[in-house]
This record gives sequence, C-alpha cells and structure tokens, in this order.
Amino acid sequence: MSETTQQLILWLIPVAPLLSALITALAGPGALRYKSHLPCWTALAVSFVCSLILLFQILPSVSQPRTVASETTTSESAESVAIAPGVTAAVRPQVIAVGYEWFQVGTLNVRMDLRADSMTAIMLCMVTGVSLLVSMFGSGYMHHDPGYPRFFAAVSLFVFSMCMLVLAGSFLMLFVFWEAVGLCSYLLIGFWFQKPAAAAAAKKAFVVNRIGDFGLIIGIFLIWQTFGSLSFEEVFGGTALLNAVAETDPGRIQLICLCLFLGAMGKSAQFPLQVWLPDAMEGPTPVSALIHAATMVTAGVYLVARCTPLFVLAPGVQLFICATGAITAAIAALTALTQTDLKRVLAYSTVSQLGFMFMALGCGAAGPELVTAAVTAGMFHLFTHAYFKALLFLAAGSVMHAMGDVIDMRRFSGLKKALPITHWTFLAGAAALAGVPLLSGFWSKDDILAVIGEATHSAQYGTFFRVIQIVASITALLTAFYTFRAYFMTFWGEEKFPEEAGHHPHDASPVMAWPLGILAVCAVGIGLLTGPTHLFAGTLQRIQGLTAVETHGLHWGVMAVSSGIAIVGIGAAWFLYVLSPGIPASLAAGMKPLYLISNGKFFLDEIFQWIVVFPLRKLAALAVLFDRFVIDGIVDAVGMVPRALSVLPRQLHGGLVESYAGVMWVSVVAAVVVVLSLF
Amino acid sequence: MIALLFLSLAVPFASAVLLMLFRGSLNQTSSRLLALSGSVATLFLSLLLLAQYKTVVLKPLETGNRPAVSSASEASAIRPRAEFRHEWLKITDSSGKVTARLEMYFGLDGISVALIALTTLLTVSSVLISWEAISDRASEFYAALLILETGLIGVFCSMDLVMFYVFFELTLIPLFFLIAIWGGPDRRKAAVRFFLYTLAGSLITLSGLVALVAWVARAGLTSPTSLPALADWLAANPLPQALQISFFLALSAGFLVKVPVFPFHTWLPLAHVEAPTAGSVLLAGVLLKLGTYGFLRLCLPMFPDACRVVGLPMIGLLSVIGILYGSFCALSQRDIKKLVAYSSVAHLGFCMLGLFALNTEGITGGVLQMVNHGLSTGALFLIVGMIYERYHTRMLDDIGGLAKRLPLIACSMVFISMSSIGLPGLNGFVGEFLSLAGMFRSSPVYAVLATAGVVLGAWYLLTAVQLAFFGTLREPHQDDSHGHPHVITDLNAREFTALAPLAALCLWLGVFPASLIELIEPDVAALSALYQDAPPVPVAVNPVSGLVPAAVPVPQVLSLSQRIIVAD
Repeated sequence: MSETTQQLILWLIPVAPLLSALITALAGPGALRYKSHLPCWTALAVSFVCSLILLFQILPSVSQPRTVASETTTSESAESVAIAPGVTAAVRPQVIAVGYEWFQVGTLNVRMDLRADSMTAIMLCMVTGVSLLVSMFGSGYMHHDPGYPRFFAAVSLFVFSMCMLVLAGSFLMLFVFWEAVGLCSYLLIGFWFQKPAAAAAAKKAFVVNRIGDFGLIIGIFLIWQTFGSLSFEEVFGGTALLNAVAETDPGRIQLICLCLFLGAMGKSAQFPLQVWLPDAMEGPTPVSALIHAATMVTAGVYLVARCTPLFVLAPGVQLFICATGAITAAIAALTALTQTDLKRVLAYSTVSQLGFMFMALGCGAAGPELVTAAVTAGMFHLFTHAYFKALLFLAAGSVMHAMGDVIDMRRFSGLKKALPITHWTFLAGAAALAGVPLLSGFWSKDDILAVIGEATHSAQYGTFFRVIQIVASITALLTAFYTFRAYFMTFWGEEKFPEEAGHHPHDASPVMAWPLGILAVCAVGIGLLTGPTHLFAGTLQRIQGLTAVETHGLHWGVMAVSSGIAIVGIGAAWFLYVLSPGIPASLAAGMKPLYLISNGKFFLDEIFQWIVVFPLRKLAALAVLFDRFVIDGIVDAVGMVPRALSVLPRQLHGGLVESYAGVMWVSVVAAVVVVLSLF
Repeated sequence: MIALLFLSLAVPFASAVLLMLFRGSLNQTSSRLLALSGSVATLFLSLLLLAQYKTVVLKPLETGNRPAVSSASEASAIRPRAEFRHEWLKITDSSGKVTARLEMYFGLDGISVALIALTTLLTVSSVLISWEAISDRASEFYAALLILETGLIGVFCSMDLVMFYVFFELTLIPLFFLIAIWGGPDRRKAAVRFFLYTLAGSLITLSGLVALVAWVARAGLTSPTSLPALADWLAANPLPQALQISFFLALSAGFLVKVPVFPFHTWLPLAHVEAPTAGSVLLAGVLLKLGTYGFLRLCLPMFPDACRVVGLPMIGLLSVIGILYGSFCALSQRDIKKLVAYSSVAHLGFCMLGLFALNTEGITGGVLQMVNHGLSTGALFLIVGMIYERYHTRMLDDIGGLAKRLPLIACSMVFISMSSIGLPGLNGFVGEFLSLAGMFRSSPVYAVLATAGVVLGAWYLLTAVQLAFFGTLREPHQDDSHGHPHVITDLNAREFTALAPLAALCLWLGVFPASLIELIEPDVAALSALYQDAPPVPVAVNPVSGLVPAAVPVPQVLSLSQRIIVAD
C-alpha cells in the first residue's frame, strides 16, 4: 500500500466523524432532523473500517525494518539498559501521517501529526467499533427526542476527539484532545439540560476533570523542561536521555509521573476524583455506554500505558498507582453492593474495573521484567471491559426504555419474559463482567490477578503486593456478586412493571437489538479469541517501552481461583436475591452503619463538598467582602486625602463677600504694617 | 501601508466629527447608520492593513530579505516595520547643533497591526450591539465610540512617547462620557472613579516619562521621545539598576491600574457594571490592553534589569494573586456582568504573567492572550448585553434555563465560555498555555499556582452558564408598555452579525494559532533577544562533569547525553 494511501486512511479515521459532526450540527436542525443518525453511522463505519485496515494491513506491512520510521530509536533502546535484559528490542512499527504545524514558539514546536502504533490501532478499533454500535442503539433509544440532531453531532465530535487523543504524537496534542473529550462529555452528560441534575452533573464532570488536567499540564511543563521536547518520539525514544535523567535526578521523573497520573485520575475516575462518574449517569444511557465504557474513562489508562517508558523509571509512583487503583476498586465495589439504581451499579462497577486496570499497571513496580505483562494485562482488561460494559449499559438502557425511563430496580422485577433479548444480552455482559470462565472478562481479570500474583514474589514490595492481591480477589468476588445482584433483581422474581411502562413493555426494537447482539457476541467471545491465543498481547507488545515476551502459558492456578471467585459471587447473589429474598433486607438492618456507608457512597460526595467545595465557596465570599471593604476601602481612603487637605483652603473660598472683604482688609493692614516696619 | 494607517485613523475620527456636527439633525437611525458605515470602513481598512503587512513585511522576512523600511538597527527591541516620521520641533544649542527633536512618529509592527485589527472589529460589534439599546442622544454616543476607536488605534501605532501618552489619555475622555451618560444607575460614581483612578495612575507614569526623557536628553540622545531610538540607546547605555527600577516603577503605576493588576483593580468591576454594553466590550476588549501594551512597549524593552529584578518577582506575584483572587471573586458573583469583569482580572493576570516570564514563550503567550481575551471577553459582554436587553436583569437569581427560550444565545454562550476558560482548540488555550509555560521556565512556583486558576476559571464560568441557561426555565415577568406580555426572541440577525466574527475568530485562532503567532513572532523575538532567551534548561545532568551548562540548545543536549552513553 502506498504511503499516500496509508496517510489517507489514517486521516480518515478522525476526519470522518469530524465531518459528520459538522454536517449534523449545520444541517441537523433543518434538513436532517430525525435522519441525523445517518452521517454519524456512515462516518463511524468508515472510521471503523479504516481502523481495521490500519491494524491488519498497514501496521504489519510497515514492520519490515526498511520502513520503520524509528529505526534509530530501536537501535538506541537496544543499546541502553534494556528493560528486560536478554530480550532483543522488537521492531516498532508505526505510521505517521503528516498534518500541519500547530505552532512554533521559541523551542516549543507542536505539530498536528497523527501517529499510530499497535496500541493506537487497538484502541481505535475498539473506540470506533463500540461507538458505531452505540450510535446505532442511540438512534433507537433517542427516537423522537427533540435534541436528536444535537445528540449525533456531539457523539460524532466525541469520537473524533477520542480518535485524535489516541492518535496524538505529542503530549500537547494529547492534552488538546484530552480536553476536547472533556468538552464532549460536558455536552453529552448535560444533554437534557433542562434537568437541573443533568446540568449540575455536566459541570461537575468538567470541573473535576480539570483538577486532573491541572496535574497533566504541570506534567507537560516538566517534560518540556526536562527533555526539551513534547513529542512521544523524542521523549520515549531517547532512551539514553531518559536513563541519564533517571540516574541523576530520579525525583524529577517521579514528579512527572505523579503529575501525569493526576491527569489520569481525573479522566479515569480514580479515588478521590471519581465523584463525577456516577453523577454522569444523568446523561442519556447510550452516552453512558460511550463515555463510561469504551472511550473517555479509558483515556487515563491509555495515558499511563503510553508513558510506560517514563513510569518504569518511577517505581514509587507505580506503587502509588497500584494503591490508588486498589482503593478505588474496593470502594466502588462496596458502594455498588447496595445501589438500587441499575445504571449506578454499572457506573460504580466501571470505576471499580478501572481501578483493576490501574492495579495491573502499577505492578510494574515489582521489577522491570513485569512491566510488559502488567501493561498488557491492564490494556487487555480495558479492551474486554469496553465490550461487556458497553453491552451492560445498553441493555440497561433497553430496560429503561421499556420501563418508561424508570431505572430504580426496586420498581421492576422479573423482566426475563417480557424482555427476552435484553435479558439474554444483559446476562452475557454480566457473566463476562463477573468473570465466568471462558468469557472475555475472565481472561483479562485472570491476567491481572496473575500479574499481581507474580508481583508478590518481589523482594522489595512483596508485602505490599500481597495486600493488593487480597484486595483484588475480594473485589473480584464483590464484582461477581453485585453484578448478579443487579441481574437477579431486574430479570428474576415475580413480574412487576412500574406504571410509567404501561402494561406491555416492548423489548428492544431491531435497531437496538442488533447492537446488543453483536456486543453480546464480543463479550462472550473476544476474550477467548484474543487472550489465550496471545493475539492481543502479541500485537500490543510491539510498542515503545514494552518488550515482546514469549507466551508463558496459562496460569492454571490463578484461573482456578478466579473461576471459583466468580462462581461463589454469583452463587451468593442467587442465594440472597432469588432463593431467600428476605435476607438482604435483614442484613441491611442488622449492619445498619455499614449499609448506610455503602448506600451513601462512602459519603465521598459529602466529604468532597465539605472539604473542597464549601471552603472554596467561603473563601470566594470572603474575597468579595475583602474586595469591597478592604481594597476598595483603601482606595476610598486615598481618595479622601485631597478632600481632607482641602478642608482649610475651602474655608477661604466660601463665597461670602464679607469674609473676602475681611481677609482683604486684614491682609492690606498686615502688608502696610510689614512695609512700614521694614523701612 | 502608512496611507492605510492614516485612513484608519481618519475615518473613525471624521465620522465622529460628522456625528457631532450634525447631532441636531441626525435621528437615531441615521446616526447609527453613519457610525456603522464608519466603523465597518475602518474594519476593512485595518484588514487591508493586515493583509498588506503580511505580504509586504512578513513575506520578505521569511525569505530573508530585510524589509525596505526599517530605521532602527537590527538589535533593536522595538522595530517598526513601516513608519512615518515628521519633525515637529527642533531644539538647537548655541552652536546650531541639534540637541533634541520632537516628531510625529507613526510606526507599525506585527503586534500593533494585530491589536488595531482587534480594535476595529470590536468597534463594529459595539456599534451593532448598541443599535436598539441606545436611543437617547444616539449621535453623541456613536461619536464617543468612534473617538475612542481613534484613540485606541492611535496608541497602537505611536512610536513617539508624547504621542503615545496623548492617545493613551485621549481614550479616557470618550469612555468617561460613555459610562457617565449612557451607563447604569450608579454611572456617575463609576465614571468618576474610573477617570480619577486611571488618571492618577497615568500621571505618575507621565512624571516617570518626563524624568526619563529629561535624563536621556541630557545624556545626549537627540530624539529622546522616539521609542525605537530610546530603546536602542538604553540597550547600548544601560542605566544603573536603581535608576531603572525607579523609572520602571513610575511608568508601571499607570499601566498597573489600567491592566488592572491586583490590588489596583477595584475600579474595573464598577465601571463594567455601570457601562453600557458597547463600553464594556471596548473597555475589556481593548482598553485594558493599553496597560499590558504599555508594559510591552515601554517597560520590557527599556528596563531589562528592572524587569528581571522587580518585574518578574513582584508583578509576577501580583499577577498570580490576581488570577486566584479574581477567580474567587468571580465565583461568588450573582451579577453575570460583574462575574465577567472579575474574570478579566484573572485573564489579564495570565497575560501579565506571560509578559513577565521574560522569554519568547511567555511574551508570545502574553500577546496572544491580549488578543484572545479581547475576543472572548468582548463576546461574553455582548452576550450579557443581549440578555440584559431582553430581561433587564443580569442577576443569576432572576434567570434560569434560558437555553430553552434562547437556544442560539445559549449555544454561543457555551462556546464563548469554553473559549474563555481556555479549552484547547479554541483561542484561549494557546495564549494561556504559552504564558504558563514561559512562566514555568522562569518561576515554576508562580506557574503552578496560576495553573490552579485554570480550574477555578472553569468552575465559575460553567456555574454561571449552568445557572443562567440550564435547568428549569425561569425568567422575570415582562410586560411592554401596553400591558402585553413581552415577546422574547432568540438571537436576531444584527446580534448574529456582531457575535459571529468573534466566535469564528475564536475557533480559527484555536485551530490555527500559527496565523497569529507568525504575525507577532519577529517582534517578540526582537524583544526577547534582550533577555538572552535561553531554551529550557534541561535538567539532564552530566554525571561526569556536574551540571549541564545553562542555555544549551536542545539538540546539543541530546547529543550530550549520547556522549554520556559513549563515555560509559
């Protein structure tokens, strides 16, 4: 394939959704109306096909050494202290599509070029594929919403931003689209802006994300100062420079990594910045599937995985990542146990699963030889999670659609018969999330548990990782439990509909059913297809910072344990919510404080409100008072000075002729006296 | 090019004179049409100027040919690329030797061209937004607006201190009347405070300027008021540091008030709240930039030592405080206009921070921020004015959910807010980023603190957007004079015309910031050369010989570290 074609294909991936966004925004309210999904579908299909071509055609074909753009880098990294000693550096296939120079000031040169390697390609396929299915579902779900064109314009813009984010070749370009993704999430979460809750959630998502972005931008400043460049190629490629900095100034690398991770914490909803994600469920359900499964929240994980060459040099930060992931995973899972809003259960499970991914990424701290396995496990979970979580959200949307927008699980039950398609697809997603053997979630969670298991052998941090291992196992158990709790509560038991649903709720229409079906197939099969066959790992490991490791077989022990965990969790849910449905209520009554903590989401929102929002608000109010009374007071006081000085002279200009005459008379007399006395 | 400049000074001035002369016979319609045609003509002239500047000055610069008109030497920190000089006054000593001369000196460089274009664009929007709002003494109103425009353009093209100062003060008068006559209920107090406060500051500046001119004239500079000559002379004969600091502080006084830098900002919210929309647009959009422009044109090129010793630490600190403090004040405002006014304090803080980073990145960022703040805050004031025109309130407590009633205005508001809070892809980001990046090189602590202001910026503006436009619809009950309910309509064609160019530029400059950067790049480079602009000093430390010397260009560092490997 010629280079021009390659570049064209690469550019088509983001540009198609951009065009669709423009067309829908301009023609949507007038000409397109309820056909607004057409440009979006077309564009996403084009992007998806191009992403597949990139993955299967272009990247393998450029891996022949002669066209490798980063040949020098490769030789350098081989020369440097190799991350995994004894393993020769693999060829790093990547494609670059030339764009334009965004700006060039001083030593800062930022170009808008696209850069794709295997991790990008995997992300692109996943993003565009899932988005395509979500947009198909969305056209059914959003049917007759007055904001129909706006929805598809925003979705297209969102996919464009996300594609550009993963295609970025430099930190600053990544940041640009990182923020653009934030904007789109603002627009989509606040889609139903008349709902005060939606408007508040949109703002909250944006502002909390900005807290993370604060870290990211400081990290970018630091990188620029340290490496004199912002392009991935120069920062990660100059292994020699990297190692030199790490040797002489390890604190700086730690600081950079910490800052970058702060950005990731915001986007990927890690403790304590996860507060925005559950609230974001106020958006339309397809948006939840889009933002909280396949795209936006994965950006943080992607960033950390992308910066592996940096994070490798900062084991302290990796431990921090691991711990943050563990805390987030545990808290979110515990919260999910008692939620009664189906979408919120899924939201907390997303937070929890993201925690899992970060746990995996942090395992690199145990030793350089683990880094590749750690990153692979994290990214693999990201990959499988995208499918089954999108599926779960869409199925929940289908439930909501049928139930007349009711999503409280206490108000409906036994939907098995009424909504067969939704039921089966939800079951597939739930089983995958719970980690039922052979389904996709099983393979990736198994990878994570395996890598944590290996990390416990580390001499230095063994104890730390043993704690992590326990937390991870318990969280996995909880995951299986709460997922199936939601499943049983929704689909089993006596048939009950809320009055909003009418008497005969409709199952998903074909345009909604097809995406559900396809995602269900993926949720069931994609793990088996790419996990044990080493297809995913083999493709991913050809990026900078990772070394190709040979397949080290399947971890039978871990697999047995995690299968056991899944089955126990599901069994417990079955026992509590199908066999003896009275127990949960009495358990809740028996452990009231614990129940309240979980149901109250650990009161994190309230804590956030009291520790951050409230003091800042007070400070702001204080600033206004200070401004009015102190600063302005001083200004007024200064303004009084001339008036004060004028008090005396003013008496002289009273306008009374008598006083003028008096003064004149006195002066004349005085003058005469003076003159006379002089002579 | 100079002919175009003269025309763009003359057209608004002539229109203003006409408006004043025939104010008795012109009704509202004809005076606003005259004002509109005058301002649109000026806009076209300034755009022609811009285009010509690009072809005549920038093209040859790129290809390496020196521009034909350049009186100043190569090393000069101020280098007009096109100029017009006319001698007014020559002072000779007894032997007939010229000791001092005064001249009319107009000059243009990229920065001034950009700012002139901004001024003319915002003036057109101001005229359009006043179309219905101003019915009382319309011709005087538009005359004041156009005089203001003339004054602003005059400041940006003056290359002579006397002219600079005259134009600088000239802008006060029309704005004083705009606020005092067509303002809100508290307009008298606001106008007087605005006038006295800024005048007090700029009188100190004047005394500093007089002292400076006297000093250099005595030291032998024959054209002591010409900016390029002054900058050159001061570069060749640097003043003692103490003297530099005194001059710097004296000159800063007026500019600090004008910008305004914390704690000299209290006139601003008051003036904004009381000013008519057009006044606010020009005040925030251009007038505040006179302060930063003063720093850029006078303080930075002439007193490098003082800028390093006093400017960076002190003004940097004040800017950081201004950013955080302005954001906090904005956060608890209930009046949208006041909120935007305080946001200006914060945004101008970024601008100052960039300028006083004293390196290429920072100064470029500062100049970009000047233009960008003009566009986005100008647009924000336009939108606030549109809401006020419809509901006669600006209080967030009175309105809510307006997106339902005014979808297009709501879209514009979200868009402009995003530009104002520095969303990448829109104009605000690049300037803010460069300012902060520049400051990060000079003083990381300031930069980190200021970056926190970015979070606050998103918070207060999005809160305002949320309260005013989202949620359930809430609007004050309005009856017209006949007791019929007032019909509220969305963005009309006139308002669209006022707003659309600004919004389009916000997008364009966000996607292609290079188009603005290349305009100002040579001038900024000339200025920052004064501060021996070093590339970021990489911390890569040579394990053998200790620290890598400062000011090593980046490629060298790379090769240096490669050498480390070789040595190993």
